Amino acid sequence: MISLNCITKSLARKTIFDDVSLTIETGTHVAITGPSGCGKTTFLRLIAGLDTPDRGDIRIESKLTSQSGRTLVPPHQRQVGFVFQASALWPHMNVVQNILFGLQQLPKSDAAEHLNRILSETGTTHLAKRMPGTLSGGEQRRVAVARTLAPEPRILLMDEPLTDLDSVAKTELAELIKSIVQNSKMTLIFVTHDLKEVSHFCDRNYVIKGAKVIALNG
Amino acid sequence: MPVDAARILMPNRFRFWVQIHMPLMMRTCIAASLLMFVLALGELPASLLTIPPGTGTITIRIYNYMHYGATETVAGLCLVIPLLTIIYAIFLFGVAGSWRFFLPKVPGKKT
Repeated sequence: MISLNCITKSLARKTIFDDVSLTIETGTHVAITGPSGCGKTTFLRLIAGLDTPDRGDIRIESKLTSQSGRTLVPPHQRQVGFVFQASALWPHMNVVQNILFGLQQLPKSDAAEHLNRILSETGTTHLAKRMPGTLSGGEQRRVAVARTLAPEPRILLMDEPLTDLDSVAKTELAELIKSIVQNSKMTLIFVTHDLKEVSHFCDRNYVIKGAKVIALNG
Repeated sequence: MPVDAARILMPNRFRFWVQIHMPLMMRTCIAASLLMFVLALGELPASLLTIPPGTGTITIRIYNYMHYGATETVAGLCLVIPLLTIIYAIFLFGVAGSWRFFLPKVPGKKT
């Protein structure tokens, strides 16, 4: 369970969240929508621990992770996966190395097994030796999803993963994400401004409006 | 954003630094280092003020030889400056290339 209690966050003197409280149950698939610049990405960054709330606290599975400007649990210990809007692959590593980065704590044989499984699940086996710069937008997103899923996170944060893709790549990636999410017990928080994607992936929808997070259904 | 991605997946601080931070900064570091090398190699006033007695930089030697009118020696030494810069640039690119040693190893592949 992810619990945000009385969160206030400002960026560049603009109040993004004003006394926001929200609970996301484990295993639910939640969509966050809202206009550009309303704080959708900030919402994900707060949960991931990449940003801290100015006031209030965030708990993941009852454990206090952030509190009033302090990060109590660093991002890599929160068991979250984050698919960034711009893929954010490391340009100096090939696809396999990108995925392996998060698996280096595992023994080599386990890492190899994990790697092969995730490459095949995400359909990126044929891209294994390619460098990110040589991949198309859709392939980069697919690799970003593979890299995020490799360490088996309990919470999956996706920041508009289908934006700026052509219709074929978008459909393929949407199907991939849907199959992964349905076959796991992960909590999904999916940021988008496309309502079709909301109904495709998520069972609850929240909209960010006027520095508040409002439940739309469910 | 690539650094944020690494903060989430970070296996440990050392790997975060050598596998992500340094390679991402490498081009900038090489350019800055090369620029500073060229500027330092041609620096005369600061060298005159700071060098200990009995030693001399290439620029001070050129300055002295110019004073005595040794044109050929000055020309030769001036050619040494771009040569040293090229050698230093090759060294830096070698360092950048060898950084692959620190990147994650593909299981089952001998490196």
